[in-house]
Amino acid sequence: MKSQSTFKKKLDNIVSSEKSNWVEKAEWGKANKSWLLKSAAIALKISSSLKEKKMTQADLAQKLGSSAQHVSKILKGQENLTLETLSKIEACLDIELIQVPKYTTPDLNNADFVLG
Amino acid sequence: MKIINIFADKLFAFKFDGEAIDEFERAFDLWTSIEYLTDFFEEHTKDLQFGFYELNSCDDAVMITLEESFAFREVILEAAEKNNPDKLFKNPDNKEYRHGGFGKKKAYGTAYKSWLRIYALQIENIFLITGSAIKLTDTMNQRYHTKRELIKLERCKSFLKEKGIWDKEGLQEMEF
Repeated sequence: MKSQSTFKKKLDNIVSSEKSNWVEKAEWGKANKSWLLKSAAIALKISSSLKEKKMTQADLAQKLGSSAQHVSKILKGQENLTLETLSKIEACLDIELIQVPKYTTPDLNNADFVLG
Repeated sequence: MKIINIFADKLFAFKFDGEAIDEFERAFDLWTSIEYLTDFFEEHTKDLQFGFYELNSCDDAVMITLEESFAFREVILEAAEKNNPDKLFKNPDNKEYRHGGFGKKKAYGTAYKSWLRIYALQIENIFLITGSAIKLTDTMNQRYHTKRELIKLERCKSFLKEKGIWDKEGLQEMEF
């Protein structure tokens, strides 16, 4: 078996000076994993709703008053969606995309104080 | 064909002519692309439903792949930080490999047996990634996209041989 130095030397001679972006992409993915996975799940749900309603991405863009590029990015799961956009999509497609725990307002009649 | 360093001077990947990125970067780009994954699982619905995994929903398959590729990537990043990619790879049954298939499926990190595969050639403690696949069938020869990976492995071996660094004894075929 060849010694490592001989092999490594030969390999070093043919390794390209080009750099891979893998590490950068992996670090970005790790830092943004939480919302990317949510964005992906949302994209799948929108996609499935479009199919069910026989709508195109362009139809959705028109309904949203948005660009085709923006809708394409949403469907790729690469868009960090705002609550405003999510609510608009929910209204356009008549679907629920996110759930927020119900907020219960306190009953002021049972308050143990009296306003002066 | 080019060889690109990924990290640590131990993990390298081939970049084929006509491709914009190397095979390692390409693998994770595909495994995190909803469009690609949706198309892939729609094309391979039968393998998903009636094969080893018995999964009925393409959307579930997409999410499983995404979650697993994120987890997989983090494990590799950790190995990069420790300068130690050696433990990432498992040796397939080489006899079966030579006959065109892997007998073993490698579990990775979750309750599911992973269908994600990275293929590499090992020489000493250096790994050269030749490609990747989502493997839903028992053997690589059963589907075009996995069969293509075997062809790529052979092309990479020939390339190394041409460059005079192919070593019959030292060269091993590996999968994650």
